[in-house]
Amino acid sequence: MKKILFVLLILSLQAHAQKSPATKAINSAENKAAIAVYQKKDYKKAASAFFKIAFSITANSRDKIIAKYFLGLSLMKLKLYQTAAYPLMIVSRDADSDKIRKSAFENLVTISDQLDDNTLLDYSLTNLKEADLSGVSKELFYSRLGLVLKNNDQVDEAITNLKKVLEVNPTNEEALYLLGIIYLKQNKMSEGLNYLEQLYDKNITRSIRSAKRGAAIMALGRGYYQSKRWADATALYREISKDNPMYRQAQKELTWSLFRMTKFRSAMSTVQTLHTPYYENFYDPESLQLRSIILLFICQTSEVEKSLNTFEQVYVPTYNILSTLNSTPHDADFYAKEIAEVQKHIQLARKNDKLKYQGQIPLFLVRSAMDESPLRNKLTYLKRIKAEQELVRKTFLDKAPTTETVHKYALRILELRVKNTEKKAGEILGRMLAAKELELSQFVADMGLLKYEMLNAKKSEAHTKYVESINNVEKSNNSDLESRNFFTKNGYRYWPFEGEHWKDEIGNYQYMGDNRCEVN
Amino acid sequence: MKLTKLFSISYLIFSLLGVSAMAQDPAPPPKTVATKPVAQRGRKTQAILLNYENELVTGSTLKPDVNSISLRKSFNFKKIIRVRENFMNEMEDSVDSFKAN
Repeated sequence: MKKILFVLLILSLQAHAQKSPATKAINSAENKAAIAVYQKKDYKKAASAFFKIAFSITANSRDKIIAKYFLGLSLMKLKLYQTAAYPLMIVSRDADSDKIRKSAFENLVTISDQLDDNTLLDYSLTNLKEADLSGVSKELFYSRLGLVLKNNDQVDEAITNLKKVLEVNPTNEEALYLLGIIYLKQNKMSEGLNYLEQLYDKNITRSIRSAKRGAAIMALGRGYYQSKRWADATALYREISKDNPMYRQAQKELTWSLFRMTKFRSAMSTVQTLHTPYYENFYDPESLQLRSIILLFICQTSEVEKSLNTFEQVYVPTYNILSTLNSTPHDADFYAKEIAEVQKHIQLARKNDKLKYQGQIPLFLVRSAMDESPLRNKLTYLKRIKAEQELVRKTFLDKAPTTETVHKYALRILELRVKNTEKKAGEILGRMLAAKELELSQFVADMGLLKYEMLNAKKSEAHTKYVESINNVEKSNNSDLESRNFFTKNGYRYWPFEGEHWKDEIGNYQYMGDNRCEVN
Repeated sequence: MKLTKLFSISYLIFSLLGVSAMAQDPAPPPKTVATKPVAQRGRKTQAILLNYENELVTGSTLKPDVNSISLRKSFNFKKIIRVRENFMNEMEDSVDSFKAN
């Protein structure tokens, strides 16, 4: 009896042992079949097949990991990078095989570069060893490390890592630019300009409207300005074309260069472009301040008064609104709604639909903040996620998926990413508005001092006039004035338009006013 | 009674004498220099000249503060106006323009 039981036990164990390899073989076979579909480049079908295996209850963990890995690769091939990142992150965390983990991290590096997602890139690179990196990953690894070290003021280590990037790829633009910035910050002008000149040479052959070309020119121009090579900086700023996104900023910096060269008339010509109706929806108190300074230098006190009054009408109320807003705490959703309101208003304005702006923060302030780097990048990222949502709907064509499919999985991931990104954008806007309040308070103080100088100059002009009228005994002979029957105000030309602008006007102003300072 | 009458009369006499004794001497006339009398039509008048050589007279002049400011010709722009030395903040913001895609 005991022997029979022992035999039965052995037979049952053998049967169980045969069953597991069979199950294993079936799931591995499913994976193999799905891999075959993947190799035929039918990535949509492959993604659906891998999804079923990856999230099935019966499959073993190893097959699930392999399925998730290939699911990530299939989604990458379908250009659904945001969705692909999720299964690859699970693989990078849970895979037993080092080979698969390394490959998952490398693919995550590629995805983060595509999405411009710094968080994902940092996560991927911290889990990779330097020796495991391939060419592209090495470049990104050293570049990212260099940027982090630079932001932490570890300048020497940052330079070392950025130079390693140039060893891998001598034309890496980010490394050239960062090295230029680091050396300029240390006041090592020649080294900094050397890297910026290389960047300039690499980008000058691009299209005139290219944003990168504009950025490279601006970078070198700013380097020359800091080195006090005003003439070289001026020449470079003038290379930016009118339809380049950096034209407005270039005009402002060109004005500063011309001012430092004491070419006040030319400086006034460029700053007048910034105060045309074309640019009235941009937040730019600095250009108004600069205009006031130049007018004060040429003793045009009446014009200074006009600029100061404009500042008081536009920016002082803005400062009051900002300080009231920042004094009460607001959550990220509040700022996210403000961004959405501005985006809606801009879209309708482009279609010439008239809609009253309903945001609480001035439109020109939010709009200008959206053009600045941290918020601009986040909004671009959000745009990419929404574009991927559209791509998912087009790729899988299910109107409303009811069962758990790749389609539903992707949409759920993307919806969550959209919510989080909108919230992050709101947080960034909140921080930017606090910084703007501080900046604007400084401008308000500076304009107060300029007002004092303006009143002082006006008083001395009045004094001079009074003295002249006492001292002048003979009247000047102005007989030619009697023959004219029309007059224009000094500094202006008769022009039949009022309140309009012409495209060729922008950037082509010529200041006709005089320097009225006393000649001793 | 007789004594009383006598006493009161003598008191009255003595008090009147005291009043005359207590009266002040008249103020001395101011020093004058005799001048020739100025002849006017039908009337003779005298010109009076007052001499204050021994008197101390104090005075001061008031200068307005505005004049001290009007004498200043050159503007002290260095301390008041912030001139841009670099565009480092804008350069930091533009790092993303050069990220490889």
